[in-house]
Amino acid sequence: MFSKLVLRNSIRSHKENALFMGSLIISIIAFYVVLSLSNQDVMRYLKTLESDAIQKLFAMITVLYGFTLFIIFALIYFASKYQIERRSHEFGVYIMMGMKRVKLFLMLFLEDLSSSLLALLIGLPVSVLITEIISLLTVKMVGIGFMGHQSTFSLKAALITAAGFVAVKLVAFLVLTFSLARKEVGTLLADAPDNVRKKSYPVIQILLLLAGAALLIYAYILGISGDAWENVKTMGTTVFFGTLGTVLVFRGIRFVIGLIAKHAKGGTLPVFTFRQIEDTVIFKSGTMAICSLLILVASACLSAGVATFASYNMYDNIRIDYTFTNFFRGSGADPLKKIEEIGYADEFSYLGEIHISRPYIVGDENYDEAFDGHEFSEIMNELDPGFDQHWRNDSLGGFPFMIRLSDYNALVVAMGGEPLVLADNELGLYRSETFANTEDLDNAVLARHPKVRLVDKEYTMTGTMQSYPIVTDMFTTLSAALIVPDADFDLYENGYTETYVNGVLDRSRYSKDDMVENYQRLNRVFNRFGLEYESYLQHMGRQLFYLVAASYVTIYLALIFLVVANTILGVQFLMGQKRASKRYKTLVKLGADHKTMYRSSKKQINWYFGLPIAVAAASTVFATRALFNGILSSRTRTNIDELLPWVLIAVVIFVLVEYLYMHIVKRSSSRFLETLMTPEREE
Amino acid sequence: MEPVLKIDSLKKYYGKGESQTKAIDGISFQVMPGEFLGIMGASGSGKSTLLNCIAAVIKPTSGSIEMEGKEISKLSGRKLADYRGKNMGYLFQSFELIDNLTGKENILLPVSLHGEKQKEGSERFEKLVSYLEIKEILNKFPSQMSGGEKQRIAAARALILNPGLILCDEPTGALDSKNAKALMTKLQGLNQEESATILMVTHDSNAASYCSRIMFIQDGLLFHELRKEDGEDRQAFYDRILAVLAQLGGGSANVL
Repeated sequence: MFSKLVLRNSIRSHKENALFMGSLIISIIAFYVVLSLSNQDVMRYLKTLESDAIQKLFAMITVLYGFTLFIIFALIYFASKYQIERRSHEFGVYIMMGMKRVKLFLMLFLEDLSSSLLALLIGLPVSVLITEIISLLTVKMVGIGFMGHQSTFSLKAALITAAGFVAVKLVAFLVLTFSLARKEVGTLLADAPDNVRKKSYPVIQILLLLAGAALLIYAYILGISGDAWENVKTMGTTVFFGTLGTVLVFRGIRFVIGLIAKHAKGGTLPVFTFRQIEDTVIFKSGTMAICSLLILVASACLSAGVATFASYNMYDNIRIDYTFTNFFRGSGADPLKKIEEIGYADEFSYLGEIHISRPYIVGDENYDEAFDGHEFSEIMNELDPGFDQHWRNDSLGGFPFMIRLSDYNALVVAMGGEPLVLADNELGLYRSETFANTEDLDNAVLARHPKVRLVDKEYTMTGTMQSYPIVTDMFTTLSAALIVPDADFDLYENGYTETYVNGVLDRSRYSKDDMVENYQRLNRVFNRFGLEYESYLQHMGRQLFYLVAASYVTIYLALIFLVVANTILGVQFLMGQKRASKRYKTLVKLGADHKTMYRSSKKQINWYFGLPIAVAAASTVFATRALFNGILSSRTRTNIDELLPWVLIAVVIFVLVEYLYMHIVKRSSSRFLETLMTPEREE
Repeated sequence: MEPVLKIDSLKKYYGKGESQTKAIDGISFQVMPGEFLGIMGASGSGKSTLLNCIAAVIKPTSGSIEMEGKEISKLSGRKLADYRGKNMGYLFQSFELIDNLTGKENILLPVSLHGEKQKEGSERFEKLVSYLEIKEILNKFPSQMSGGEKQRIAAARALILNPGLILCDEPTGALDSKNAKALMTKLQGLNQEESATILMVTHDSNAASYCSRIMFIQDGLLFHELRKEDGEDRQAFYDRILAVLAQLGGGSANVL
C-alpha cells in the first residue's frame, strides 16, 4: 500500500510538473558537460600541445564544477520547495490520518529518489548526446578536423555527475524536509496566507523609479565610455550602480503598473490582470531584480562568449610560422645559415631577419636625448584630452624602439600585406597588436604628419599605424616603435640590436589539414639541431586556450544563469498563482471560463517574464558594448560586422530559451487553472 | 406571468448501487419574478446540491432547470459561463471579493468579464453605489473594509449586470447581527423597489424572516413551505419559521 502511494505520487508529480523535471534534467546536463570537458576533441588537441595553459584550464574546471554544484543546488532547492509547498495540505492530511512523520519523511525520500533516478535515466543519455554534438561542432568551427573524432563518453564523468546530482538533491531534500518537520499540522493544512499589501506612497515609488533609472543610466555611461575598465574601483562602481539601479527600478515600477491597472482597458479582465501583475511586482520585486540581473549576466556572457569564439581565426593568414631566436647582430650564431645547412630552407617561402634596436647619440651614449616626439604627444593630447598622460609619455615620449624598414616590409609582403613606403626623412609608427587599441587615435595623429627629431635629424611621421606581427608569438612585444629607413637605422643603432629570423612556410607544400602535423614534424627537426625558436603552434595553442577557456566558460555560465533565472521566475509565478487560487475561484464563480482566465494568466506570464527580460535587454546592449570595448582586441573590434551573425545566433538561442520557458509555465498554469474550474459550493 | 426559474422533478444521486446517496430526490418548484424565496435546511439536507445545480456547477441526474425559459443543463462553454455571469448574480457567505482589487474594481469585474459596455455598466454602477451606500469605500481594498462593507460591495457586484435571479448563499453567515440586519434590509429593499428576484439559502431564521416565501428541505425532499401572509409582520413570520425549525430538529417522528 505504502509503495503504491509512493509510486502514484511520483508519477503524478512528474506529470504535473514539467518545470521541475526539466530543471533536474538540465542540472544533470550541466554537471556532465563540465566533467566530460577533458574528453572533448578540442581538449585532447590542446593536451597534445602540452601547454601549461591546459593545466590551468583543468584546474578551472574543478572550480567550475564546484560553482555549478552550488548554482544547481539553488535551482533544485527552489524547484523542490515549490513542489513541497504545493503539497503541504496533502502532507497535513497524511499526518492527520496518523501517518508518522518518519514514515512521511520516508515516503518523500522514496519519491525524491524515484524522481532523481528518472531524471538521471533521461538526463545522462541526453547529456552524452549534447557533449558529443558540442565536441563535433567545436572541432568543425575551430578547424582541427584532422584530429579525428573520438567519443566524449566518460564513465567517470557519468558517475561523478550522478554522485554530484544525488548529493545536491539529498542536501536540498534534507533542508526542505527539516523545515517541513518543524511545521505544525494546522499550518500544513491551511492554505498559504495571502500577502497583505503594505501601504506605500506613490511619491516614494516615483522617487525609487527615477533614482533607479538614473543609477542605471550612470552605469551605462561608465560602461560604454570605457571608464569602467580603468581600474577595479570604477568597475566596482559601475557594477554596484547597475545592480542598485536595477533593484530600485523594480521597486519603483509598481507605480507604473498600478497606473496601468487603474486605467486598464480592452481585452478581458484588464484590471484583474494588471492587479495580478502589480502584486508580483510588489511582493517579488527583489526576485525579479535578481532574475533580471542573472539574465543580464547570462546574455552578456553569451554574446561575449559567442563573439570571442567567432573572432578566433585558427589559421590567421597574416602569420609568421617560425621565429628563431634573439641574438645580437653580428654575434655569430646564425640560424639562417644553420637552416640552409640542414636542408630545410625549402620548407619556407620566406626566411629573413628583422632588426630591432634603440637609437642613441654616438659618443656620449645618450639614449634620453636621442628622440624628441613632443609634437606627436601634443597632437594626441589635442585630439583626445582625456587620454591617459602616463601611457602617452611611455609610448612615444621616452625611448622608442626602431624597426628596420626593409626588414619589416619584406616580412609584411611575405605575409601578404602592403609594404610601408617611406621617404628618407619620414618615419612610421609601429605597435604590437596587444598595444594596438589606440589605432584610430594614432592614425588621426599620423594624418597630421607630426614632426619629430631622431638623434640629430628632423622627420615627418606618416602612413598608418602598423601592427603586423614581427615575431610569431611572444619573443618580443613593442608598445611603440618607429619604423626607420635602413640607412638611418644602421646609423643610429646602438650595437645591441636584437635580431630575429622569421620564417613563413611554403603553403603550397601541404594542405591546411596537415598544418599541425607539419609544425610538429619541423619542431622535431629544429629541436634535434638545437635551434632556439618559437612556432605558430605555440601561438595557436595559447590562442585556442584563451578561446576555449573564454567561450566555453562564458557560454556555459550564460546557459546556467539563464536556466536558473527562468526557473526561479517560472516557479515563483506558479507559486504565486497557486497562492492566488482563491481569486481565480471567485472568477469562476462569477462566470469566467477557462479561456478567459488562461488569457489573463498568459498576459501575466508575458509581463512577469517580460519585465526582467526587458530591463536586462536594455542593460545588455550597454554591457555587451562595454565588454567588447574591454576584452576584444582591436582587430576583432574592427570586424564587428562579421560578429553580427554570431550575435544574432546568440539572440536566437536566448529568445528560444525564453520562449520555451514561458511556454512551459503557461502550460503548467493552464493545467492549474483547469483544476479550479469546478466552482463547488463549500459548506 | 412566466416564472424566472422553473425546477421540475430534479434529482441528483451520487454513487451507484448500495452506496448510492440521494442528495436531491425529486424536487419541483418555481420562482416567480420579484419573489424573495428562502431555502432552509440542516447540513446535508441537499440545499447546497440544489444551489450547485441551479448555478450550473454540477449536472443533475435527472429533471430540468429552466431559467427564463432556457434549459440550463443544455448549456456549455461560453454560454454556460455567460449564464453564470449574466443571468445570475451570486452573493456568497465569504463575500468572495478579490483581495487585490479595489471595491470599485471588484464591482465592475463582471462587466469586463462578460464584455458588457462600460457605459451602461457605469449608470447602473452609480445607482447601486448610492443605494448600497458604498461610495466611501470604492477605492479601498477588501482588507481595509469591514465585513458589512465587503458584503455590500459583493452585493453591488452581484447586481451590476442586472441579473434575472440573485442567488444568495448564506449571505449573512459571516456578518454580525447589526451588519446582517443592514444587509437584509437592503436586499429586501431591492426586492420590493426594483422587483429583484432573490433566492437565498440560509441557516439564519432572522435573515429568512425577510423572505416572502420559505422552503424547508430535508433528506433531499421538500419538507415544508411557508408563505408570508399579507400584512404579516416580520416578527410573526419569524416565530412561524422557528416553529418549523423546531419540528425539523425533532426528526421525522414529529412531521407536521
